[in-house]
Amino acid sequence: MKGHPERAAEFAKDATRVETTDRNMWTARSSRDRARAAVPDWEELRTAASTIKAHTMSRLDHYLTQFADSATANGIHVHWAKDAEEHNQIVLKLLREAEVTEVVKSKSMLTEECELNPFLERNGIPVIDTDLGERVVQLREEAPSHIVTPAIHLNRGQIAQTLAEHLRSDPDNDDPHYLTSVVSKDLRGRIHRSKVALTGVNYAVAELGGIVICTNEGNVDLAVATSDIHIASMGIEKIIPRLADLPVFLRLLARSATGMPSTIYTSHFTGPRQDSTMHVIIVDNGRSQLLADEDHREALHCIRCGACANTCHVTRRGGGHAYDFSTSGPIGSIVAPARDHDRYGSLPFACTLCGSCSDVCPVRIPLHRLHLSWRRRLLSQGHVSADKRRLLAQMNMVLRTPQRYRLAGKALRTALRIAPGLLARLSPWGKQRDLPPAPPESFRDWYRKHRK
Amino acid sequence: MSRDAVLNAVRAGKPPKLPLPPPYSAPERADDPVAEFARILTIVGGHWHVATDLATTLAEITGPLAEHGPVLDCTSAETSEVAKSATPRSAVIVDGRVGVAEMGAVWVGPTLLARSYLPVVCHALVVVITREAIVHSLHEGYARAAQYLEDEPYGMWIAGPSKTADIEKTLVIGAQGTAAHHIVLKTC
Amino acid sequence: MNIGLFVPCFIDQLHPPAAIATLRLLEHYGHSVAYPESQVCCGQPVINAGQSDIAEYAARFETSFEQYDAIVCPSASCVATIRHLYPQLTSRCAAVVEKTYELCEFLVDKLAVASVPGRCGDRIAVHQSCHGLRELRLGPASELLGEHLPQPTDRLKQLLGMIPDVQLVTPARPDECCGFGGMFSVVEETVSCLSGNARLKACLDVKADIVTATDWSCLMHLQGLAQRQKLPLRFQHAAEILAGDLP
Repeated sequence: MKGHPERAAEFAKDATRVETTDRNMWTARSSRDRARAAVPDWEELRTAASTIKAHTMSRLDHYLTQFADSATANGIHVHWAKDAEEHNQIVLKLLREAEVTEVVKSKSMLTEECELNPFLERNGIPVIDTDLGERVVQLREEAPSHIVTPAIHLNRGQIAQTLAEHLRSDPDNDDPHYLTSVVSKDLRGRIHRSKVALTGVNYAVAELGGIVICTNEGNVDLAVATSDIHIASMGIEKIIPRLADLPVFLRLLARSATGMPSTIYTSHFTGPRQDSTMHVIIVDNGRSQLLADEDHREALHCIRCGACANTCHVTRRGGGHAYDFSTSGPIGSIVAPARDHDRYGSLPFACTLCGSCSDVCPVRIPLHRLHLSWRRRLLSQGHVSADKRRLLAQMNMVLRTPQRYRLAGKALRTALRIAPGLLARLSPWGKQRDLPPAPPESFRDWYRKHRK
Repeated sequence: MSRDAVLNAVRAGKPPKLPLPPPYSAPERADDPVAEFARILTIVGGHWHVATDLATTLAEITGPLAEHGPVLDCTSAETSEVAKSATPRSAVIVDGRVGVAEMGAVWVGPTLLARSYLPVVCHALVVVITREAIVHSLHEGYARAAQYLEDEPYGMWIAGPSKTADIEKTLVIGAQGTAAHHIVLKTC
Repeated sequence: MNIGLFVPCFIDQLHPPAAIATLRLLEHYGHSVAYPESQVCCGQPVINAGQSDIAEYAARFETSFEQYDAIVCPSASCVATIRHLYPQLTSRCAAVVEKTYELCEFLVDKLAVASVPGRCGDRIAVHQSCHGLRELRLGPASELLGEHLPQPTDRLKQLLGMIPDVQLVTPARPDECCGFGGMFSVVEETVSCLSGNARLKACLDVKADIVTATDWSCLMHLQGLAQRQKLPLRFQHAAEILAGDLP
């Protein structure tokens, strides 16, 4: 089964692509650093965010109920979906009732996870993604590679080509300003025409019975305002208790994601506008299972800023698509294995445990520690490859017994001395690296000779 | 029923109860929030104006934009009917009820806007605000905006002209929404 | 002080100079240092592969080292394993864990040394070991820079700063991971080498002659890449530079 190593290697075949992705994502990381420096209570905010989330999860049923009841009292239709299939069916039913032939959708990783677009398309309703980056990858028939900047792996030349192919723009003009105007002109007409606006949710405020959506482009507001029906999909973990908790997260979100003090538009929807209807679909799809997992439940605290992906050298150089999951980067590596141990078993190992992700996470999820925890879980449940298990057995054999250890060490040093080339060819280590030079003796040998 | 299924699954798996922290209080700041607001606004791409005579300042801003269409002044009640049309506007003028200095953001509500997309789709957004309405932190901002959220189904913080950096992290202004963002401090 | 020298398994077998230099340094500062021969390995390779049962490793570590006042090790990643992972996986070793130190943190925090015997006229780039930086907090992490929290001083740079006329150069992205990561270096060979090469380029761009670190594992990986490409860089463990020509 193809896992992260194979996909990353595939991605890396194009050196320009690696350079582009790494450069773009590091730019976001640097911007985040600068933004953080300007917030004197940054570390207190992180602690508050973490504590609010931990509390919320411990009373999640209460807050979900409070949200649903308040939202309903505000005139919002609240739906519940156990899984992706049920979510998609609810959306389809609402669209059929509204007799729509095409819908626009703003960025929602939940709808990516539920594979809503292909589902609606199979049922005769095309979906147009209105987030600029998402629209570009949609035209290319690719998945987004990053939850905040979906086209971060593409350079302007590639985007110019894509737009020329699908939107009849000038293939030789790769100015980002021109390219942006091409896409937004195309989208504006579609947005105005669409009767229904599909959106995600950044925060659902329980005491308010309302939702908050953050964008930079304004595509959510445009779509919702020019439509008669707003359908917002949210995961159960998006709940926060009070309005007063909202600024804690908002002060962290955009700074962590892009380095700006806030997103341009922070839109609050607490009920349908006049002459329109609003729906919120509350989705589980495996989240309650993750909640029950003592070791990994903190992953539900994630606010989708993408900072962990931006700082992760593995994501930057192996690419977001190597995760083969709706969410890339370190948080993806923790959430995905919960869904499919075998398909995503390589993700927790796609990590050097460097800890950078944990240091940038605005809600203090100990991301790198959760990678190690997943390794333990996968090993103990037998979801690790035969090769890995063999290697582990060999390591234990050698490292637990001094005599075997010294013998193995001596053998290794001898082999390094007499046949380094052969050794290099036998191991993936040797593909791009020389093996270390063979020391004449071990430290223990030296110590016995010189110090005892 | 799926509502019960989801809630039961959550009840079964949720962690042991942890306390709700008190509402967060941001550190106090002694400096002038209006000066900070102006500084951040400029960084995020907005234009700052201090108006001794509001009408003159507004004319100075909107005059050069005439080619983009008529101006829509939503600060006066009579315009609520006009606001329903989707005609491209050169500028829309709205009242900013709260300003948050740390983000250069203003709260705009739907009161005079039948269709809430107007702050997004006009060429230039002009927000008129008073000194007293500007606070330092988003925490204070929400304390003030709470009342609007009680009464109205829609409200937003706007913190600059529409932006995207989806292409090679290059900043492009005026992506799908307004290309120009003006905040006018009304001093009388 | 009676110091027990904890020598990482790969240094014992593949790079004794780092351990020899550590021994000489500690003796230079007037302490008696012993190398308990019963030690083998802290178990980091198997722990990072997901093994939870470390009973034998912990027992061996405890018996080897419990008698010493302090246990000093020229490897931040091994010390991070003892300090952070042992308490999660075993109830043994609590007392020993408390007195186990990485070399640079020991020299600065415990011995408060004011000078080092090493001499070096070459341009030195410090490669930040991730375990050292973000597990042991041996220095300030770039993710956390600012006036929010008091940041720890960079112990290794402080010690290198005691070398007269030392030339320290700082590569761009000063604490990006080298890509070694233990098994990662073979399981994810592509990304491992991409990240390693990025560090090498950063060091070359600031015209470093020598790359040093608290961890030989990082340096072994970087050296492997550099030697294959015949890059003009030398690699020395921090202990070797600090100890200089001590007999």
